[in-house]
Amino acid sequence: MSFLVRGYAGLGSLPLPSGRRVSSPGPDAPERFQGMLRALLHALRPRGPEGLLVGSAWGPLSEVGKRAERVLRGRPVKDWTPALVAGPAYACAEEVGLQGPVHTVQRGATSFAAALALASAWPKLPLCVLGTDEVTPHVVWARAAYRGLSLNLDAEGGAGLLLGPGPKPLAHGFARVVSPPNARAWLREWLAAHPTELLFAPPGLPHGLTVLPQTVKTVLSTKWDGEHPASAAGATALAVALLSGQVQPAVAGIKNRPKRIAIVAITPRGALGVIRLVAPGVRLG
Amino acid sequence: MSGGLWITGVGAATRQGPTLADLERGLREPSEVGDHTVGAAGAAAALVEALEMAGLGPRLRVNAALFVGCTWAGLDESELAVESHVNDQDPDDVAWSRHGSDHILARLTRSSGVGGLSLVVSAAGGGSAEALELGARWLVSSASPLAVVGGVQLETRVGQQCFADRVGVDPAGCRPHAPDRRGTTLATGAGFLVLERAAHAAQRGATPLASLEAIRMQSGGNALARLLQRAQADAPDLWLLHGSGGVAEDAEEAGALKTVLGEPAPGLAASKALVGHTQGAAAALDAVIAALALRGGFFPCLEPGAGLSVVSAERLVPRSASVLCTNLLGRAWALHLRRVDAEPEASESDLAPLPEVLGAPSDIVPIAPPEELEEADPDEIESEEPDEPEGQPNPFASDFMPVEPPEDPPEEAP
Repeated sequence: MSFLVRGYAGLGSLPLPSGRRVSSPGPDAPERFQGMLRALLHALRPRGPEGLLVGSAWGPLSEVGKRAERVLRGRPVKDWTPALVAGPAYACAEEVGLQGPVHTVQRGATSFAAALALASAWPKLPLCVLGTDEVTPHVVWARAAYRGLSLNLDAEGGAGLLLGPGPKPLAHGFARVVSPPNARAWLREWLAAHPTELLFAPPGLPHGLTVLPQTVKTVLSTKWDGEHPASAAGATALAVALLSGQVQPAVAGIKNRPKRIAIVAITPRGALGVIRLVAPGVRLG
Repeated sequence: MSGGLWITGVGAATRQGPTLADLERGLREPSEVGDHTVGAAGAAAALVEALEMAGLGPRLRVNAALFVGCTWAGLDESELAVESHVNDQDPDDVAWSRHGSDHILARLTRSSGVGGLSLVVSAAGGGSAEALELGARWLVSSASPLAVVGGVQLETRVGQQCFADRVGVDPAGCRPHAPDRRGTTLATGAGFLVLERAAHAAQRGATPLASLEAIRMQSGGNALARLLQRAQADAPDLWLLHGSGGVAEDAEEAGALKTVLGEPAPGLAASKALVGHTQGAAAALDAVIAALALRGGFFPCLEPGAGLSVVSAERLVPRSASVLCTNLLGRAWALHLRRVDAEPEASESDLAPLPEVLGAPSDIVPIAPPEELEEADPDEIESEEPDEPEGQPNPFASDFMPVEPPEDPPEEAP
């Protein structure tokens, strides 16, 4: 269940070429999650997507949160639509006239990996796969709960890939999500079996992977746009840019252009997402 | 020959009670509406019930995919945290740590031992219909032999307020298609189905409850009417209607049914008077009900109200059933199930025909079985697939390292 990457885009401070970096709506913008999706989808639209898959840990949490506060204070809510998790993707797809599948899936910090894994179920269709999460007051309040897990969630961002068949892809890859209790043991074995020059991983994870050969350069996936559940999406877009030679290897602290990159995401309860990308012509396995 | 996907296990927790047997009792004869509340533990127990009926051991569970429809996953916990803020109390860290999709999925996977790709699908009340759609798509397009699909609806005040505002709540209880209906009854619930390739299920001696023949979806204006135009070709003996009891929703559904199927229409039933509107879990529970009726050879005791003319006298033991589901954003699904009369021999030919699964919102696209799919990169990329052991397809042909099952048996749901 592999996929070919034909385009990429990232939000915010990712070190991507300027043409592939798009700005996100401001922190006070209404329907900000939908705005983030819209920005990424419009950046990838010229490449002709027919469907849209979104992976997001929280979806339009700011809109849900606003309505939750009103309900819990006993006040009426006028418009529910922006708070429905599937709504932003439906609306964005309708805006650009997509005729293919449109789905929003959630799996904590592995949501983008889950969406990528699911995307391989449409091997013949050009698909946009986006991963975004917004920072909201509710996330800031949640930070204390997550602090014990060394996660700082006071950040937001996202990125997306355009997948599909055709000649001259930018990269070739696959994604997988594995649940506990065997996830970490599986990941150690998987990393040992799959040569990788560069590993993007969230804070805390690399220390548990002592089997990694010294030749593997590990970079925090949160280095550029902070710690948020969609940071694996940003790292994936950057990996495509590195593999296709569109950003310099020095961005990731390495000298030579890499041919194989892995991106790992982990949820607070130990589910693992792994995304493997290789340069064109390189064996994926 | 039946279709290529079998339903080999189902589980349900509803307001009728925590088990499938509680639901089936209510389906077989008129009964009082129950008041059982389904929590996360009850949802996990329903998942385990489906896996046990399917006879799936740890080795099959650990690589199985799990697609769960929800409406705002984890919102039940988030509300507690938001409430502490609203009331100027200390942050409820425990509640926040349970916020979101990760918590409910962790609960389900930990209890069941299901360890493959797991995700929540949110679709504004159609979550479990979309989960079924994606589960079937996953099996049709990959080499994976089975997937678990379903839906979970836990108690949330925000979710209830949303559906109350959009659909209405009838203080007299949900009365689908009754002329004097005033709205729905919101309820908690969970339903799960094990979808499995027929050949794989037959090979391991599993007994099918039904086969999944087709999943159709339409979106946009008149979605339900356009969906029914296509779904009527399946000519099911039993239509399980969306039938929420909502004044506008039921009127739209009745109009579409009368236009497409004519009047009186045969074989109509609606479950929400019995189990309530379980939102993200509703389509999965209706699919469970359809599978029970097809396996058990009975017509569910779920008469819709007199707003629809039903040919009650002609009710037959159903051989096929279609489930209708609509969501708050104008999408409509039809799931078509058929009774499996003859067990297929375990051979490659049993992989076809696989069910029709939506390829685009406006069309039904028959999907080729995996062996007919072209490789996406025949010229550009070297193949990385390892050789497969003879007679044993590798379910992760391009992602070939399966997870080993845990040494200890999976934790049972409390």
